[in-house]
Amino acid sequence: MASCGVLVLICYFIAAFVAPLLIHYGFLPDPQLGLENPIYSSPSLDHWCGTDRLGRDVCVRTLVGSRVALIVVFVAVTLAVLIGVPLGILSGYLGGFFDRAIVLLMETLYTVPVLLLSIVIAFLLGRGVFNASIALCVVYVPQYFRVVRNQTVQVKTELYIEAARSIGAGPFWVMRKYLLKNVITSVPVLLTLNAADAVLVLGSLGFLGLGLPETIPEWGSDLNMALDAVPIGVWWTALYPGIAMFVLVLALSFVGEGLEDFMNLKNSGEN
Amino acid sequence: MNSFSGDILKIQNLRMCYPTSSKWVLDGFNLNIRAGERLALIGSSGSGKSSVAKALVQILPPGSICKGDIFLAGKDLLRLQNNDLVKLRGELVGLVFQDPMTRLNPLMTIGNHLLDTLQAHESDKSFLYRRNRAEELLLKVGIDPSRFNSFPHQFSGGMRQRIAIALAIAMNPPLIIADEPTSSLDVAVANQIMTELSQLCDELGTSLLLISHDLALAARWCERMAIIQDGKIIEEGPSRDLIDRPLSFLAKRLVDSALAREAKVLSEQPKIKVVLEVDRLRCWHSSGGFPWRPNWIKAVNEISFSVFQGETLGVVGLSGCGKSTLCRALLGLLPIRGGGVKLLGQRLETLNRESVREARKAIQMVFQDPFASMNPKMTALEIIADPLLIHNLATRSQAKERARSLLHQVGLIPAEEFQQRLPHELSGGQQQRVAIARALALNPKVLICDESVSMLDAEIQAEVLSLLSSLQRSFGLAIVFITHDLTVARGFCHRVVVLDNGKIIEQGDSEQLFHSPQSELTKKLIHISPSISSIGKY
Repeated sequence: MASCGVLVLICYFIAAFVAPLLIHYGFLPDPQLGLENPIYSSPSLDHWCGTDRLGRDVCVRTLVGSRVALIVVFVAVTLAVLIGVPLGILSGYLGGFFDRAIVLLMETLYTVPVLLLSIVIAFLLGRGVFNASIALCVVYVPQYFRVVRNQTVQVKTELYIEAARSIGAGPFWVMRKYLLKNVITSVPVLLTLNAADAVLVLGSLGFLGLGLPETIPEWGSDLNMALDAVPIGVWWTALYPGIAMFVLVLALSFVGEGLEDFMNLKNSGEN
Repeated sequence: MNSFSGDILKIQNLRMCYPTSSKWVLDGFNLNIRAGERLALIGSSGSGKSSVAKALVQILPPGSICKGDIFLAGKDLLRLQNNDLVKLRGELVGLVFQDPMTRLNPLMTIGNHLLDTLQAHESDKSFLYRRNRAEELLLKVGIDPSRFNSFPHQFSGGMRQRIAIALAIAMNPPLIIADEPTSSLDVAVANQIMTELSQLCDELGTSLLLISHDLALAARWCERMAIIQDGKIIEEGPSRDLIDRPLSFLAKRLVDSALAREAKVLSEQPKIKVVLEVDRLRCWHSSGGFPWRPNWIKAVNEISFSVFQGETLGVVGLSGCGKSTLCRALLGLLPIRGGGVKLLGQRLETLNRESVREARKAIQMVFQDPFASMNPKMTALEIIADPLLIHNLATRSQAKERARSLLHQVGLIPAEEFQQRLPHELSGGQQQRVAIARALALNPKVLICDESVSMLDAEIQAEVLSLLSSLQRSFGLAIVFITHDLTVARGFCHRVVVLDNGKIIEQGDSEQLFHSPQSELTKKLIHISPSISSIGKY
């Protein structure tokens, strides 16, 4: 299962890399260009997945959409890890008032539904690739924070932390050399599962007309546009971006589950 | 009383192999135990001694192969049906494990543990009968029946082990197997537990199979011993004879190392330079009470002693006497509430933070549990090099070079073979050697050893102790050796301080203290420490 997931992910990466190049050299039509094409033409040899209501090629848009989806998700999840993990270690290790304040903030963020929070932030920040990433990242920081902080609180009572302090290690040395490697074990799993979730949230933002600017082809906004045409029998504008999103989420989930099994196996092997 | 006579347990040509390996863990194992007899099964780790216990109650992992004959009270175990096997566990054999905490369900009261066992075997009896019987059992192992509804975590290690014993004797089995029952307990509690266990065995006429690595403990409590190596019994006989005249190579080695553990490994050291001076040190924690009048827990109360260069000072006491608090306070891991510590002539309490950190490089510690004291994600080399990097004493490559030479010094040769291993890839003795190397990396003048050998096999204890004393000679180290085991302290320490309730109750030269103890506690400690030299002809 996991290897299937990895394989699919690789396909997406290739599509994300190659599609813009092909468009640049004229092998594929421009995804924004619609005026000379017929509108709502069904899948044919000219347009493999048909065209949408502005006459834009659905196939190219779907391919190019994978690029922006991967970028936004990657940036958002990376940012969330870079913020959540150090904050979690710091808060867990130092404890006291600082810990309580941060935990309160993070738990508050966590109680707000994911979509609601990202809609509000996306609305406040305006459209843009980086802004959309931030809107997603804010949602995921508390998850990493929680996992890492709780792990840290557990690990910091271990004898080897005390031993490190007894040889003169300061708090930052302890966190970097002793805590970090021992608390991030569950992060990779969370990371892939969150990435799957982030693809969906990004799609929802696009569907609601938030997140990315209109000039960037994106699955969510394409789905929104396709909605009007579905009742009159135009199925291709909704189907292909939908399948693209579905398969990407599935692949990421498979990889996540695979990683989890692998980690469990490794841990039980060590004990 | 049990009505069996003759051999309770008869194991003939037992061969056993775990599902994942092709090696026979037990290979041609023979053993007889008579009714009411106490037999000790002795072996180093990995010799298959715990597998014997598992084979006897048939709790081997599925897929294991077990051949041969095991007759327990006349029944052939290997040919029993599953239902009969369930009856067998508890009714014919009781099992007492090493670590009682992990064997008790933390969500069940101890009373329910007993009721559960009784119900499994005597479901026809009334609830009231079972309840009475459970209370009776608690009383028998010395636990107040009013604690019927307490949970396992509310008991100390010794008490938990008593509960485990109560569970084992619940059905009056003719045989009790005790697998290292006392190795996680301190000497005094271990002594109590063993006394009770053997008394109960005598009272009920039960046989005892004691599985242990400790020759002295086994010789003290069992009349007969069997030594196991590579899944075979290689020597068997009355304890006394075996210790006096060991025949096989392994038995000789075990007796030798048990003696080496107690032997004097010290050279007389002129007392020239005081390196560590502790003056009326107090470590109090407040627990509740008013802010202006807190209730103090006086873990360490007005302790004064001094340690000379090249000298070993033993700090002896029962668990909870403040030994561990003392060494944590000396290392600066716990706040000090009065009194002073003078290290190499510098008074630590007058220094600022940074200078204290500098000064503390001269005092390092080796912990009790070597595995827990090392970061599981760091290799041996990184572990040893880390102190140098923390204090910015060397570049990365210099630190590694130094770490390699330290590995060499603590006897992990060739260093190349050990340097890349993670802690779990090292044996217990090797782990403790790495921990010692780490403590030596900063060239300390004082080494604190907090029960540093108590978790190791007797054989390895002797090795580590002789390593420590040779390092002491070559580095001129002062060692503060914290232990509950007076037998070890006697041979290893120049002077001994006895602690009780955070106070020093007796101190003096170890030999003198051993021969003419003054306080009651010291006398008791000497009496209960299992010592092989007091059993055999030595």
